[in-house]
Amino acid sequence: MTRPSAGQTLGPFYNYALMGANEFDLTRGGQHGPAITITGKLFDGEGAARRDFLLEWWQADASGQYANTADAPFRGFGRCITKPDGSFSFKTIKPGAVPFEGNSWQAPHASLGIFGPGLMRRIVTRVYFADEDNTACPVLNLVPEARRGKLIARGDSAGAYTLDIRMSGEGETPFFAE
Amino acid sequence: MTRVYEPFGGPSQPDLRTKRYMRTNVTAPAEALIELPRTATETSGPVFGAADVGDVGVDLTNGNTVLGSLSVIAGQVLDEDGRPVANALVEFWQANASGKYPHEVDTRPAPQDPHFTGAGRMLTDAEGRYKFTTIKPGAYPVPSSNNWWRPPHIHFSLYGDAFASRLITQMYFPGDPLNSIDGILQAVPDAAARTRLIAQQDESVGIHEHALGYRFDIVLRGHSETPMVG
Ligand SMILES: [Fe+3]
Repeated sequence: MTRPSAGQTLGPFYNYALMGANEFDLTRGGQHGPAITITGKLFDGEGAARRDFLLEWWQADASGQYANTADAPFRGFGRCITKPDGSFSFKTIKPGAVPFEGNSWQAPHASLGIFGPGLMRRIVTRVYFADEDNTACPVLNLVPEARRGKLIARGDSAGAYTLDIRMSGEGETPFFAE
Repeated sequence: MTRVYEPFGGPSQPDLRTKRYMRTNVTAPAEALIELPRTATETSGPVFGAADVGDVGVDLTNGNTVLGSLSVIAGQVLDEDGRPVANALVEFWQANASGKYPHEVDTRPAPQDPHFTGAGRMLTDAEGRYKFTTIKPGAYPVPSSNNWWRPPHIHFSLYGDAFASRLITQMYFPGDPLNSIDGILQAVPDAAARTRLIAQQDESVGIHEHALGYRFDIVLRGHSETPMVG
């Protein structure tokens, strides 16, 4: 048995290597539900917007199923690199509820993996949706109640959601252990 | 395949922050991380195909004559039980022979090499193997760092078969004197884990009178089956 290889920072000089043309758009392979957008900005602990953070989005399809082939109609994976003003944007569809242990369910959500220049490992969080019933989600309920709102994107009637990410300090986004 | 994921961390992994670099003191979380059960969200993951790899390719010289020592890098992507991880997405990028990246933020006055692409992408085969052709990158100074030079290194991004088996790391070259004083390689506490980030010279990988060869194996999170308990 061998422990995983050590993580190392992706550095600041990577965007030409990783970025597919439209990887922020999870509907690029076809429309399999009403389109929504999630936009926001990523801030550091001093409130400065930060560029060149890599965000990776992973979600189930509208029925709560995760894609398990490369030719699935809805792949569920996207990437976005924060712009010089710290902004990011994903276009996708609303995921369905996902099974948990027993008869319980996780509220519709996406997982978000974050890599940053200088940071040695990925940091993981989740995105929930304000217009869903999040009260019984067994994972969201692991987050202290006062901080839960930091994981919940707020949308308008056109499906445009917003959520900012605070990497550290006051108003810090809740992050999960890997 | 059903895999089991142990909690991540321990002495084989560096602290999240890098000292004296990119202000990670204000980008690393200050609050304790929240323990997360393994759910369908974490044990599933994106599956990549040939269309995702596109035409980026595995020859960073594009068949051109480029500056630097021509090198072939090859290795195997394995899980924690030593079993191959097939169809893993492997992406790699690096500076050119003068230590310069083709990136707008790299403003150091060193020359670009127009014939060198600086990045490649591929999927591992059924034995978890990958291989690509490149040149050995140059060292480069870390801006505002009191003369800290990064040793020659290649950045590697790997996606195994789950959201949980995701790794970004760096490969170093054997015998470089900068390795032992690099703030990023040396941030890994465990000496054996640091050694595993240094490629091994391997003549069987190189091309006779043409390219040096290096072997670099990578271990991703996950056991193939439930480990024995007790
Ligand atoms: Fe680098």
